[in-house]
Amino acid sequence: MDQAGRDDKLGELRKDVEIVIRRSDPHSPETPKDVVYAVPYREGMTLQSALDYIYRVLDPTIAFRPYKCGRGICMSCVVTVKGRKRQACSTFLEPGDHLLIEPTRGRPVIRDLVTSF
Amino acid sequence: MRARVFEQTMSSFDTIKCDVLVIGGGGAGCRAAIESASRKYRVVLASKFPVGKAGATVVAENFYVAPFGFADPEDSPEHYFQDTVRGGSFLSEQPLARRLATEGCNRVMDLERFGVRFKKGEDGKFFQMKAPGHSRIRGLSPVGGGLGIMRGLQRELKKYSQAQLHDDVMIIRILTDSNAVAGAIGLDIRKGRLIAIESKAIVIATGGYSTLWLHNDVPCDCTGDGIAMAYDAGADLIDMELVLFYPTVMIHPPSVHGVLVPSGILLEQVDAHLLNGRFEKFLPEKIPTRDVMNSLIYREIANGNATPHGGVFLDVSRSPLPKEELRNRLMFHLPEKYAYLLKYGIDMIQEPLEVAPMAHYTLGGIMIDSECRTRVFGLYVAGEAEGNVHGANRLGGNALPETQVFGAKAGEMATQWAREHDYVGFDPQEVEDEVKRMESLFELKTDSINPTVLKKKLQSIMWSQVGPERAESTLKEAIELLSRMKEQDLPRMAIPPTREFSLQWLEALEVPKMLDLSEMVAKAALLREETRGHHFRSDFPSREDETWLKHIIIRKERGEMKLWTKPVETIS
Repeated sequence: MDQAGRDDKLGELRKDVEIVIRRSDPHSPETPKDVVYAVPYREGMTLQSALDYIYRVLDPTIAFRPYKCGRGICMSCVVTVKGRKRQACSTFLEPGDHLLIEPTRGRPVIRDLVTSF
Repeated sequence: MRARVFEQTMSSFDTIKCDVLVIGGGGAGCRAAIESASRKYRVVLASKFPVGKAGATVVAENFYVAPFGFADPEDSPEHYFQDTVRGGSFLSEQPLARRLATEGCNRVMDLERFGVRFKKGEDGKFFQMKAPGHSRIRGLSPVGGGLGIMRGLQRELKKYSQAQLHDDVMIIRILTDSNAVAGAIGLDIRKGRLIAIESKAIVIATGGYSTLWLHNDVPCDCTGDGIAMAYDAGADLIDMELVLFYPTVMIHPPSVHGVLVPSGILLEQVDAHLLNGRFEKFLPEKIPTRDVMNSLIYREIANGNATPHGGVFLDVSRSPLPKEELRNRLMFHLPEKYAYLLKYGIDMIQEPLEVAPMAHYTLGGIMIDSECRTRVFGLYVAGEAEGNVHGANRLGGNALPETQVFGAKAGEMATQWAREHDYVGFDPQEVEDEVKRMESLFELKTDSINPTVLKKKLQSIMWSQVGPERAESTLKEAIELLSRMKEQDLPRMAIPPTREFSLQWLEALEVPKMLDLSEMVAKAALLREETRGHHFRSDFPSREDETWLKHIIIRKERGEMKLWTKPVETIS
């Protein structure tokens, strides 16, 4: 088993999801910078609820769009997940997932995952 | 007149000048901005989140009431007015309900002009459906629901060069001079910098305050900012204790907690049932209004007939209709909601939904006359931020027309004020003082508290002590707890030094306003010693028409919160 495989296995055992956020800070010379967050998995967890958890519990400085329409149509929570454009509210997570999250491409980044529309 | 702010040289904040400032980027705010901009007045629309991804209109269901009388030729604005007043247990401010009833159809025609589509029958007329509490068939179905309406409003607004949209700007204080609007101070969330907006008139369209309750189905920006600001600026508030708890919001599984399932449409259009935990029906034959439905749900829960997670079942799967027909009707009436729950692995055709009442819409708000005026000159209100159009309950489908009818009127009135008056001007020192106050949030304190924690704490107090069921002892306890939060917790609130798009900063600005509003709701709920509509006092379980056909008014006087009652205004 390679390192990534072992990490995945460990994540699954701990029932954690690893969210890597490519954070941008207009004032930092080291931008963008990848930061890893371990989020305890909960059944039915979406990327939006994981971001919510990161903000509330792990790191209140994280910037993302918290608005939820509850119908999956407003596109406020769109981010790039593993290189593809996704709505965070309907991106479902599995225990042991390891995901790279970036802001939506092609739009000016304000900070972290927030872009202007 | 004082020195005008735009003439000063300053560096700690940015300045903008306009005729009319509209606060809030939902349906009411956009409609007000269109009205002013179309009359060639310079409008700034400041929205806490980007327009189209902000406020409650976006999440509104596909249900919009207007008494066209196509499905029922007997219908009229008069019938609609009477239904609204009766549905609100006669606590509606009737001149406002009258405006809603008489102008509803014209505002639908405006929306059509803006490119919003409504479902139509083969005869080309609006398709209309039945809804609980409405004596006639008058519900329209906007394509795409509230978001469909928002898209039309956004398109229309973009046509006017006079309208400047400021997304991600949270207005935090209204500035006045001699009880007239001078402008406002806001936070440019993207830049992390204060902004001063000088304007002749202001329209508040910031929506309701349902997020004061831990369990709610509204977007997180519905924190009632505009109502708290209007109170600080000297406007009166009305019936703050009245909150609509929507009967059927998902409580399980956790992934969809807080997702509203439209009971009216499901019960009327697909023959769904509301069942207790023993799968027994408990609604009468004629589907009741939402306040009555809630009281029946609470009775089942109190009698030990709750579902495993403490609610009831909204069951489409037991509908007598064939499954194919069910699917067709769901795809016609609720395509987005049905598809959304399917994404979460919940097929309402196959399994009952576990639902419970949660805070959904706030009936109280800023007191206005029928022309959207407040006590402050040049300050107007539209949409859910205004109170009390509906009374102690709002009929289904009445919120979207409220945004359009009062949005248009407030926009018209604000423009008229701007045409007839000059800028009042304000002292730049007021903005500098606000900048200093802001800076104190970033200072490290001993035992500092994060605003997210404070918000959750007040939401828990409001849900458990000022929630769907209220009594003197718990309300007094809540008032005590909230006042302790103000005295002990607020001074310790601190946020990290990050400035650009700081959600902590945003919440730190929301929390003090939410605490003020919570105190008002609890105090007014304690004062109203009766049960009416959604206000359920377990220690005063009956409706008291002799003593309580009254509004509760709240005003800030010399820094103190004053409450008193005023008889309901009726019209013949």
